[in-house]
Amino acid sequence: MHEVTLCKSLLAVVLEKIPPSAMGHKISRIYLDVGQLLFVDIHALRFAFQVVAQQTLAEQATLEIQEILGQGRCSTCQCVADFPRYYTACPDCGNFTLEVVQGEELRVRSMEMEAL
Amino acid sequence: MCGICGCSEAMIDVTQDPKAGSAATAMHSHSHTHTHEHAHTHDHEHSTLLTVEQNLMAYNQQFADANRAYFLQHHITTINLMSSPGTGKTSLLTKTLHDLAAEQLMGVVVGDQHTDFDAQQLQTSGALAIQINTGHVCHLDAHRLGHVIEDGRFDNYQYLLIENVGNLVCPALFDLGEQYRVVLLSVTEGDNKPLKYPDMFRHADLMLITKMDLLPYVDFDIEQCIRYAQRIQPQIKVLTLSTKTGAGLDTWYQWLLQIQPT
Repeated sequence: MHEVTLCKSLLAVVLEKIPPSAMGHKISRIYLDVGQLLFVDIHALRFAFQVVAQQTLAEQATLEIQEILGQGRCSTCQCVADFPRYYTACPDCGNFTLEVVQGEELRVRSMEMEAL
Repeated sequence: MCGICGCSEAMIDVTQDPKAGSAATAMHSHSHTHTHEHAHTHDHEHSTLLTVEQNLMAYNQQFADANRAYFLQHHITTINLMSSPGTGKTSLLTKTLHDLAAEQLMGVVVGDQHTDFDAQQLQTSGALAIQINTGHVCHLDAHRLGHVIEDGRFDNYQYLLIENVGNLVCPALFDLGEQYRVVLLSVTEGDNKPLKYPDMFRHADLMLITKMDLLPYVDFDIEQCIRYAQRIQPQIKVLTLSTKTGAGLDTWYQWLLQIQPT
């Protein structure tokens, strides 16, 4: 995963969402969903964000990261199973026919702003 | 000057196409603030919560969407070719251009960190081949591709072949706006690569197993490699070929021709 690239993108997303009415405010918290299947290095992400956000209204923002565990539905036997990696076999029928239900998220859910 | 990457090339206004949508607008007005369709606010002590609900790759995605709209508008079949360094992308594309140029108008954009060796080789076919040098960056992204196509030089082309930077990891993450993704894997690289690099194979339409002329000299189990790839992408198509001997090239050309919209 390109943690620095993700953070540049994250920064662009949150800075663009600052409404004109937020004069004199900074971003204090950013809520993110990160899917398990993407194997994002969370430590590297936090560090990269600190660097990338310097001298912006997001430079003091805390990243609140929710990991979304991988889950798949088997197209052969219809069972729902944990799906920690893309090449996980269905635990019931053994086929490699699990389709992702969740675990690929890379989403900014919301952000908090506070007075500077 | 482009406010994102600092280049001085002018932008084509694809917003004239109603199909281009708001993604294209975003490309031209980086400092433009958008209104929130779903924003809700509530004051909690001195902080305000704003709904965002945006994908982290939205930044690249908006350029990819604009590129895709342009390719659709001009009926250009666009293919993103990816592989490790040295798998044979340039050789295969050069041979393809030599063999098909009489029938089909094909252009190439090729990415490398440094040098224009690849563009020079591709140009021996007589085709238009544009080199992008990414410097320390290890993949092509939609913004860079957008700059290459924005002057309309590929407007009348039937195919745009994009040879990505040689790298089996990072290019997979960056939608360029292509219609098809082709991943190349040579028999000298090992048959377990689809499992080791699942992100690359997960969204591939076609896997080309190259350098088949070397198969007698390496331990590469083709059937096993295909099985692994199908675990990651059950619908993946697989073709085997050797650019050197010409074996299997006809199947690759067949695939190329049949994906063209009628």
